[in-house]
Amino acid sequence: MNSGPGTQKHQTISRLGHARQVARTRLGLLAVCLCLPFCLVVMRMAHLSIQPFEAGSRDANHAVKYTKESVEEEQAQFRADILDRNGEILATSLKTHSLYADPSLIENPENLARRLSDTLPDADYERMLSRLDRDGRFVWLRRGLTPSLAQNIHDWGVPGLGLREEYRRFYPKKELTAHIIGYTGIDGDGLAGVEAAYDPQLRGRDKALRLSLDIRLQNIARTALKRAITGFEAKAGTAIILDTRTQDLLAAVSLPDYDPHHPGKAQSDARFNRLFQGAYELGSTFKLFSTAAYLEHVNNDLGHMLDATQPLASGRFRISDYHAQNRVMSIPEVFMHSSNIGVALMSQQMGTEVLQKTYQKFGFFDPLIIQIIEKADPIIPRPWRPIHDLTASFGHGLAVSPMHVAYAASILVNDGVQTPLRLTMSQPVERTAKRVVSQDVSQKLRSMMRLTVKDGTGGNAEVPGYSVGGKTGSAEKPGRGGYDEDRLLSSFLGVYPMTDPHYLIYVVVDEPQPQNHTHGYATGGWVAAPAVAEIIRGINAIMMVPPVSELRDMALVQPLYQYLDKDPLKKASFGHDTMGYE
Amino acid sequence: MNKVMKHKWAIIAGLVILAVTLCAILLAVSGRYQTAQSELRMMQRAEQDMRDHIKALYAEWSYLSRPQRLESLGQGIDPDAETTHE
Repeated sequence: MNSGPGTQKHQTISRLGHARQVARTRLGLLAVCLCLPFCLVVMRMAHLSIQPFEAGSRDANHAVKYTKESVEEEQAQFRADILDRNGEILATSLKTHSLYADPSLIENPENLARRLSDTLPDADYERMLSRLDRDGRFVWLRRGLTPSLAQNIHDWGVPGLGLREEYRRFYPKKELTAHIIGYTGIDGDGLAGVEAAYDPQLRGRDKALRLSLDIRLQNIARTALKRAITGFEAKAGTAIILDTRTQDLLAAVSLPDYDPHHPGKAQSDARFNRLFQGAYELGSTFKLFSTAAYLEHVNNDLGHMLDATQPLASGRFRISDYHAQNRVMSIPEVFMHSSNIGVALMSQQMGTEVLQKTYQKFGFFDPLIIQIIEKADPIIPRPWRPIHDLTASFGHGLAVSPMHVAYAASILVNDGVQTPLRLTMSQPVERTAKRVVSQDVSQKLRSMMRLTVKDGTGGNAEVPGYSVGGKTGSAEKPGRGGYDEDRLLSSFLGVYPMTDPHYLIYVVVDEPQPQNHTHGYATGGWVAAPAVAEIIRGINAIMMVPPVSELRDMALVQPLYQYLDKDPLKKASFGHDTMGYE
Repeated sequence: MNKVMKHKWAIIAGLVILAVTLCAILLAVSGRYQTAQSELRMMQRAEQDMRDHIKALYAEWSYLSRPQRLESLGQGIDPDAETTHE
């Protein structure tokens, strides 16, 4: 092979070119290696700038997680306000501070427990120490601190102590609406009343729930009821105000009541909601419905005479009137004198089916359709014997809640038309109504109710100029071996103005004691009727109810006078309706 | 093509400077954004605190204007009550 100088030169050039190529490649790789970390740093900086904390350190992640949990807990505890129909606050959520500790970080538990027990009101040193001196990373020390107390503890700067913001429920009207509004638990769960029934609409929501209640009327009802209970040394009582035109529940009081901030401190009797949970044999107010059933289905003639000269015997029972008229009476007379014999005779004539069907229509056989959890089921006699036809006609043997009776009476005076009971303003007033009894029967019952107050057993409920009507009830409570005549449920159901009903007031007083000024009586006419009159005067002052002309009032009752035996202006005695069982 | 190859280092350097400049601008914008966001959070917090405060005031007003208390106050300023004291 020839290897001349030209060939050697060519080979040398070729080797140099290759070496240069290698050097370039290496330099390129080196540049890439140097630039790559720089680019990564730049990208990371950009990333961190845009999304801080997202993939940060463990602490940062923990901080984010903790913040999220706190916010979620805070949101869960927050509840929407509950307002009355005029926007008055009945329940609201306020921000408070709660003190917690991480016992593992507490250096001197004894010292800290002493300091805390000296600072926190009602704090016990031993209990505080037992919480601080234990294993674990978290323990609540006190919830719902005032801002100044929270600031004070915060200023100590003690490691291991922490403050968390929480929402706590506050009830500005305190016990005034306790049985309707109810209360919540420490973690914000609704446990009773509206708080429990409307929990999904309140929890974590911002939109206030507006109730049909009027706090002013609620106060009037509570004051009058309290006066009746105190005045007659009674055990308990309920008062209800309904708007008969819309079926709005305007006031509902059950006494005794409790402070909703501390339901645990109240006696179980005070926490018992007699409005909805109590099932009672409510006595002669039921004559409204049995008389309506009779007029609707058997005999529409008010002049029809019923023989109440003798007690009515049925098997081993005898039904009598306390202040017996001992005569044959027309239907209005039976009603205004609250004759048990009279309505029992009506019930005998109409039979089981008609009475049950009418009571069913008025809702006495079913739980109330209202969004409240603590509701009593009516107690219906099983089996239903013939004697129950008679006793149920004057409100014995069948137990329902006071709200049942108030609602049913509201339907009766509202031309016999049923629309749903309203507790919240968001619930629409239903236009499609169900007829329970005819308009004619409703009109006749209204006239008889007015007659009862004007000339019958309900005279103490009269408020001149306002055409008040109503029905008394004085039911003996069941006791050992029968009914106890010393333990009464005295009630009065008032409606006004009877010329065009607007308000219904129902007051029930449990076990009132006879008083000297009532001549030894503790019946509905003496106990509850004056309370109803007091409530009516209060409503008139607040709602500015116009008075009714005497002419219109007289036009309502005048047609009934033809059926009365005695002088209509002569007041009937305030009778004590009894079962008369023997 | 040759012209590009001739100035390729200048172009690379220019691109690197551009990238660094853009990163610096991004960092500055991001910083301002975070400051603004932090200010916004503070304002939102202040607004929430103010709302809570107003809510507490409404609750207090509702508590002070509860009917039982107003009745007591009414009785307290009743001229008949003063006459009784005398």
